[in-house]
Amino acid sequence: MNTIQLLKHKFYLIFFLIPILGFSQAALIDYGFSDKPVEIPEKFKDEGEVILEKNIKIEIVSDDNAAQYILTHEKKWINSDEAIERNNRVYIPLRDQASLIVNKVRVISEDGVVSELSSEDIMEEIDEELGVTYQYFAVKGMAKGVIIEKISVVKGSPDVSGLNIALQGEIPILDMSFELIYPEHLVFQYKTYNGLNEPVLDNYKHDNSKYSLFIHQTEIPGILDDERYGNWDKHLLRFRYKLTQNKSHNTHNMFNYVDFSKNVYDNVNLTLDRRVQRGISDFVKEIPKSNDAFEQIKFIENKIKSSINYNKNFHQNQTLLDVIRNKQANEVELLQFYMAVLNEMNIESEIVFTNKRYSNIFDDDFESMEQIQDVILYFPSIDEYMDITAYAYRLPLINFNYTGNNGLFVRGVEYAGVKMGIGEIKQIKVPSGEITHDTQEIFIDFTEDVENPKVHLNFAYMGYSALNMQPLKDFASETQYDEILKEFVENYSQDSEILKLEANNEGLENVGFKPFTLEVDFVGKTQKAGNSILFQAGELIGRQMELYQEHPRVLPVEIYYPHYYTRRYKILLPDGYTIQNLDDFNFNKELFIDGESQASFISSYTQNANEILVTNTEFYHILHYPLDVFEEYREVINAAADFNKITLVLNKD
Amino acid sequence: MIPMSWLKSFKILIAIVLMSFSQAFLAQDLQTIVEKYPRYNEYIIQESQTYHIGIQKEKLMVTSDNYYESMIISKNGIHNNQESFRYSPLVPLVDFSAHSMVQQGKRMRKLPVTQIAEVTPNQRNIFHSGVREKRLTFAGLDLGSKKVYEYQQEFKDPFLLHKFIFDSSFPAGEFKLEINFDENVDIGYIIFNDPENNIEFSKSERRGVKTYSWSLRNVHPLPIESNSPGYLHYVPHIVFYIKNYQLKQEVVPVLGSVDLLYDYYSKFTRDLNREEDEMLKAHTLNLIEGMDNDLDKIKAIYYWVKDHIKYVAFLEAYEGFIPRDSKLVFQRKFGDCKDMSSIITDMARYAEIPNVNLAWIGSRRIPYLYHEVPSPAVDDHMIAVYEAPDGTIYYLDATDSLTRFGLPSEFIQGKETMIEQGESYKLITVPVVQAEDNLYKLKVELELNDTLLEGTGEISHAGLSRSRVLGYLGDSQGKSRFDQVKAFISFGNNKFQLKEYQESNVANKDLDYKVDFSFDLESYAIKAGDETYINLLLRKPFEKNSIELTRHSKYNFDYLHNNKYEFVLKIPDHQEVIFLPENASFSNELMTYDIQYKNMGQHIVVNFDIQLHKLLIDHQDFQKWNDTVNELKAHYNQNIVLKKTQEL
Repeated sequence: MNTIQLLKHKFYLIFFLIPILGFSQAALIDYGFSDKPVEIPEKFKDEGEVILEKNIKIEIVSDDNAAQYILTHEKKWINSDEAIERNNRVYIPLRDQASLIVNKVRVISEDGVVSELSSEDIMEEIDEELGVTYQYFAVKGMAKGVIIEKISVVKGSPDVSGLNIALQGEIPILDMSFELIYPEHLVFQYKTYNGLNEPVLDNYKHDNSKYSLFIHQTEIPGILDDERYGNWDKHLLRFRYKLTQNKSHNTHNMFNYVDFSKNVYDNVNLTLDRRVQRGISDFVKEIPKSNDAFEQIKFIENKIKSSINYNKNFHQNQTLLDVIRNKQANEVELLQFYMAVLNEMNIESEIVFTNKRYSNIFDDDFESMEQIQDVILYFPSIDEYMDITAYAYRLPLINFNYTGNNGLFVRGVEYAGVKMGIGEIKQIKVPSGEITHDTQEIFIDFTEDVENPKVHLNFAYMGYSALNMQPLKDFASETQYDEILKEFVENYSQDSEILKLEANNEGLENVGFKPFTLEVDFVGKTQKAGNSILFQAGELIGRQMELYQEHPRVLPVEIYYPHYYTRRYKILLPDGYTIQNLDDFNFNKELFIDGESQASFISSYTQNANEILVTNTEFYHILHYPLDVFEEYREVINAAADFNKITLVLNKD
Repeated sequence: MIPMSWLKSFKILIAIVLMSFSQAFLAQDLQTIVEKYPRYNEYIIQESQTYHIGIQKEKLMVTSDNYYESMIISKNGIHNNQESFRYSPLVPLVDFSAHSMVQQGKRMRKLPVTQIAEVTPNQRNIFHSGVREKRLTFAGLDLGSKKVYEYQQEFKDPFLLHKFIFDSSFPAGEFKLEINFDENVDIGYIIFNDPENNIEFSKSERRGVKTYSWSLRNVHPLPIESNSPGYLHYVPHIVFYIKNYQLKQEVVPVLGSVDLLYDYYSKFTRDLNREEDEMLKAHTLNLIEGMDNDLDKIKAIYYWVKDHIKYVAFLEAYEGFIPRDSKLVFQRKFGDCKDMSSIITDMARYAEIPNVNLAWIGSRRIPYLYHEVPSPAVDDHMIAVYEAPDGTIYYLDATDSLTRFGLPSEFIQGKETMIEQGESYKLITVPVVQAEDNLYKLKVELELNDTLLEGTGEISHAGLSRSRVLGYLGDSQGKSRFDQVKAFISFGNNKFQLKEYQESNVANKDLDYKVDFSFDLESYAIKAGDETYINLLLRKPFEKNSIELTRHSKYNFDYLHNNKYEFVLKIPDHQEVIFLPENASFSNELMTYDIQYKNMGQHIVVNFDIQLHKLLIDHQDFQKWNDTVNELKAHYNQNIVLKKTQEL
């Protein structure tokens, strides 16, 4: 969401009101192609593409019409067909009435022929839904070995409430610079992440009324975003900045969370007129009541989510009554609506502003607006969270991207009879492994027909792992749903004909509440090897994630959510048969961090006459596993994949 | 423009027809629909398209009225709050309206749609089409609410009418196509995929206007099926076109014969490449320098275009029909299928190779023949065709950059093509690439070390199998190349570790693509006591291709597979082979296979050959196919058994 929408007083706009003359944005507009000689270092010669130069300059201009100019200059060496495909179509999105004032592209062939973009090649279209204008064109003359060089300058409104820019990607960059240019009466706060060079503050570099923050870095390696359980975005070189002071207005500590919390709290907790209040009361009447706080909050969530559509582009509601009538609300209205209902029902809640941990960093040491773009609710009475804009997440499940991340918790505190919003940065709870605890009961009966054993599966999925299947019944037709269930079960059923398939606790209302269960019967598939019978018992737990063949690991492991599995086998043999390799069921892999077991895969069996019982537990307790324990982590993951390959050998005595 | 009075009266007529329908519907019980179509979130009351074809001011005018009315039939259906429709420069939007009908007390209240956005639809592979989409968001939806929208379009070109599909993703009360046409107009139509004649047809005539109407009621949506040849192969639909119209005393022909279709198409190509481009000419002559026969020359030209002209499609209005001049394509180094065909034919002209021509063709997802559907609906693609003096025909489709000269691309196999021959044309059917040409070979030599299998292998891909695998690999490098190569080589289980690999003939389209590799494979051989069990059929083609007997569409394969495997296991020291599975040999009209196990003393050798004989498995062959696959799977289940010999 645009957090700014939530603010009642637009305190952030006051910075530009000092006219400044003699701009240097003219320098950006005149920025030309680079004639630096091109040499590709030996170590990059096998890359599909290499960014030779990348220069970003952002200039904040404060005259009567405060503006921001963003210059992007990129010079790339193209060395593969895939790189041609990635680079021969260019889309430039322009948001919020921004305009493209410079757009230069040239392609230099290996033999020095230059073809430049001409204005008639550029097309434009508007996406009214997103409010974005796209300028787009196909690039002429692309071939392996060419150099493509692009320069664009986009003029738009200044973005100073907080920006976090990644200055690294999958493609190596030989020479990179970033510069922020701004009038001398403004002061910016900034921070670098993951080894980005510190900026140099150079007063009056461009002229005597401007400051410049300049970062220069060379030979930035590309990091491929292809590692499983990695958080790529979080580990790139990044630069974050925001405006913090306007000396000409004597404004300090701008875009701080204290003011934000106060302001937002007022804007979200509306004073309702009688008519609207009555509408809310009528709505509340339709919500089932419970004495159990958890259940009551769940009823509220189910009622609102099944009657009001979250529609981020909807702007037709004047009051909360319209929300009920139109059954649509944008994010701000939805939050206001939830607060009105919760206030009406006297349920204490806090508004939590956060971001997704797989796409950005929430820094508790840097108060900026860009890291508090998403909103969820927190209920202190039950210590749980609610994801109000996500239809498929239900209490206590929220998008896992928020869990374990920081959040700005805004709550109302009463001073002298007046409620005020207070904000505090805290960590959003990581759901315990028990929330997502799957159990698999597997019964294999060889007694009637050793070549065609009867298999019965009784599986229960909870929490996040149930989310893949549990809600589907509400969205798919009967035939589609049956088909989906069947396909899902194929992961376990050895390609056999299914004799019975029963699912229970389906549907959104059971998400996060009851386990999604499956009961399946089929005749197991055996293989023959002379007089022996082979049965792939490990397959019955389904395919497992593996990290068998890894390239040297670059990023530490970060998982979506803690997870727990309990698996039990019961195997019945006919008289006179033995299983030769029961020891294959024994596993003991465990990962300790600071003396505590944080991931493990343990399995063992017991045999009593013709009955064999196998018990297996597997868990991942925490979200983060540092790089130095990656090998141990890998062994635990691979133990599960090894278990999946267990093939029992049955012989007649 | 269309006279407004006409549109207005037409709209009123539609409104009356639909009003009576809606009122009749209101009497129906929501519960009945829910019971009839359990667990659907939405039910289409009516979706219709009404064409009006007439002559205005000595010009043929075509407009259509499109109507959609649906009901939310589950609580979750309230989230189906968006609808959209498309239009383009050749079929512009004239007018539209949309509203929801929501329950208020005992009455239904009309709520106009106010959230309307114009966007560009996401069209895969098309860079620019000029097609726009109106996206409507319906407010106030609840169980039993309705979404209603209608829009009018004008067809600027009477040659380019749409087909009508009697299916949707929701169940429907009625799909209806109506064509009102002036008595001076003659139309043609073809109904597809309605074997039981469920589509009701009626016709009438009133005051010089004829009406043809087709309706299909109580329609269950057809499921989306894997390995489907494309929905036009099984969904009921109508293709219609204007045959001719009478202007004063003269009959003006439009469509209805392949000749007329060719006349229409040739207008788009007759002025192509009129000017000579010195640069392209020089480039062409340089490319073919030293070559002394046309076959080498055309091949060099074809390969150059495949390698250097990238696919970027601009299809706004007639850009979708008119190939661009070769000069521009050469300069841009990108183009669509028509542009690639244009530059091939023009380069052939510079190289003085006769009989290289443009040709229209439908891809395999379009199931029509030219004489059956003599309208632009019949095709969607263009290639160049070279007819050699010995009568051999070469299909030059540069949009597929990988397939070798001499073979057609995968998606035009078996399709009819219309080849430009100046004032005339020629219809020819592109052959299906025979299994022999698509040979895929895998030879693996294995050694057993306790339970670890180690070895080397050699894989080769020819024909369309080569195109397929290289299309998947692209020209990725380094780590991602390693992972992709591993993914298509690996066998046994996912503990397959690729150690080293060496690719050859990646760039040479004329040679088989080969990979030599070494690997190890754990947890595949099973050891119990003195015995070791190994399933030596390391690849099991068609194992996952059983067909649901109830499926609607034919079962499609993209090319005829022809696989030859050789698996050689060195018998470990102090072990003997105590069991070898039985050999098997089988052939029917669907597939042929042969599995041979041999104990050669030092080695066990397994030879496994398998060929697919049909691209499309028809309904009457489903059972036979499954029986064949089941039999094959029984052979896949066999293991060899090794046993430790008594040590002295």
